[in-house]
Amino acid sequence: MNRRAILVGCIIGLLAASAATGATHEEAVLRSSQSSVSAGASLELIGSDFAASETYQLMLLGVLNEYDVGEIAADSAGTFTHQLTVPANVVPGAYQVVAVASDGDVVARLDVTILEGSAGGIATQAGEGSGGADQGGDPSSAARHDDIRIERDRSGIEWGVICLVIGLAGGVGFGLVRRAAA
Amino acid sequence: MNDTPASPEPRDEGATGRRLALEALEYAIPGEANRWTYMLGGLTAFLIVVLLLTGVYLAQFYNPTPAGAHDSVLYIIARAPFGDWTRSLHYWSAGAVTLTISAHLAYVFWRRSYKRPRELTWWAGVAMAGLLFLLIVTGTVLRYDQEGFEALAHFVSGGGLTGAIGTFFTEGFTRSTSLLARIFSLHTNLLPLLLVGLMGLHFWLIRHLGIHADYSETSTFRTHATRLTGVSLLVFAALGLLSLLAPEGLGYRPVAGVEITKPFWPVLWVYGLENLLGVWGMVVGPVAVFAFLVAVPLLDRGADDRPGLRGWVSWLGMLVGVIVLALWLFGIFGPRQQHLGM
Repeated sequence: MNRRAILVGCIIGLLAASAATGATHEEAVLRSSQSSVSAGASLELIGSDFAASETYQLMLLGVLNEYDVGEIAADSAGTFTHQLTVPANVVPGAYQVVAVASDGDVVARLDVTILEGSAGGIATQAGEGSGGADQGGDPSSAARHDDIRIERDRSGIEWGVICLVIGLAGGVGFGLVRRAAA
Repeated sequence: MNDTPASPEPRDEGATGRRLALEALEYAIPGEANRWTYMLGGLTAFLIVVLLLTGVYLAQFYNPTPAGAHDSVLYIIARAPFGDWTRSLHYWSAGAVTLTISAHLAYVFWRRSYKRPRELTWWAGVAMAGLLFLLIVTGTVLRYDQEGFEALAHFVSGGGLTGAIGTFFTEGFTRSTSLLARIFSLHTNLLPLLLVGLMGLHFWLIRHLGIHADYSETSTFRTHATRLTGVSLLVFAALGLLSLLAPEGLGYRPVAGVEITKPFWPVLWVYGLENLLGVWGMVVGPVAVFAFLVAVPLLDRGADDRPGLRGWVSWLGMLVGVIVLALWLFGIFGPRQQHLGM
C-alpha cells in the first residue's frame, strides 16, 4: 500500500470519528433570563429539545467545585421550566449549569456567574471551596497578603516527565558547553 | 574595532546539515563574544521563548473574567496537568529574564555599544526592556489574588492620572468587556507580538552591523550558538528544578478597596518610589528611567567608543543605576504603604 493511500485513509478515518462523536452530545438547549445569581437565590431555567418524558440530573460545575442541584423531568414535548435554587454554600465564581442524562452524557449546559450571597459583597471571601485546595483562612472577608495553602497533587507520570525534561536539559546543556569549549 | 573579517572555510555538513543550511552559521564573530557577558542577550532571548511557550500552555486553562480568573489559577495549580510546574517555570523565568536583560543592558551601556551606527540596535533593546517590564506588570494582574487586584487598581489609577493616554487602562474605555480581559489580551497578544518583532529587528541589526567587540581574535557563530544553547539549557534545568522545589503560590481572593501587598520583586523599585512620591511615582519612575535610556545615544555622540566610565553620560547612567538599586532595596525593606488612597 502506498503512502498516499494510507494518508487518505487516515484523513477519512479522522473525519468519520469526529462526525460520529460530534453527533451524540448536547443537542438539548438550556436558557435563562439571568446570567448571574446570588448563592442561596433561585434561577429560572427553561429547557427545550430534551428527550420526551426523560429525567435529567442538574449539576452546577465550577472550576474546582461541583454541586448536585436536583433533577428535572422533560414533558412530552421535551421542554421544561424549573426554578433552580443555588445552594447558599456555593463559592462565588464562574459556573455552568449542566443537564446530565441517565447514561452520564451532558446534554445541555448554560454559563452562569454565582455571586456572593447576602452576607457580603463581591470579592470578599478569603476562604476557598474544596477540591484539592486546602485553603484554610477566615472566610469572614479579611484581606490577606499571604498565600493560600494548596495541596499540589502531582501524578507519577507528571513527576517522571518533569524530571526527564530537567535531566535532559541539564545533560544536553552540559554536553554542548563542553563541546563548544573543546 | 568594527571591521568584520572574511568568513572561515565552510566544513562538510553532511546531508541533513546541508538541508538545514547549517553552513550559514559558520560566519566569523569576535572571539570575545564567547565570554558569558556576551551571552546575556542570547540568554534573554531563550528565556523569552520559554515564557512564550509556558504562557501559551497556561492560557489554555486561564479564564480572563473577574468572576473566574482566581478559580482558574487555582485550577492550574491544583488540577491542570503540569499546570503547577509550568506556571512556576513561567514565574521563575520572568524573574530570570529581568536579571539577564538588566545585566545585558548594563554591560552594553558600559561597553558604550549604543554609539553610531548601533543606535537603532540600542533603542530596539531598550524598547524590549520596556515591553518586558509591562509584561511583568500585566502578568501580575492575571493572578487576580490580592496582589494582582492591587496591580489592576494601580493600572486604573495610573490611567486616571495620565488622562487620554491612560484611558485604555480604565474600566471606562469600553463597557463590552472587562479591564482584566483587556490586560490579558495585552499580555498574551499585543506585547508578545511587539516583543518578537523587536527581537527580529535587534538580531537583524546585530547580524549586519556586527558585534561591538575586538575582532583581533575570531571564532564562528556556530561555536557561539553551541555554547549559548548549552548555557541556556543549563539555565532551563536550574529553573525547572527551582519550579519543582519552590513552586509559585497564589494569594487569597482579593478584597476591593484595600492595599496591603508589595508587588513582584522586579517592580519593587517603583514601589519604593511610590513610598516617596505617592501614586505619581509609578508614572514618573519608569518614564524617567526609560527616557534616559532612549536619550543615551543622543547625549553621548563623540567618536570615542572605548568601554568604561567615560564622559558625563556614563556617570549619569551610573547614578541612575544606583538610584534604581536604592529604590529597589527601599521597596524590599521599606514599610508596606498605601499609595492609591483606597
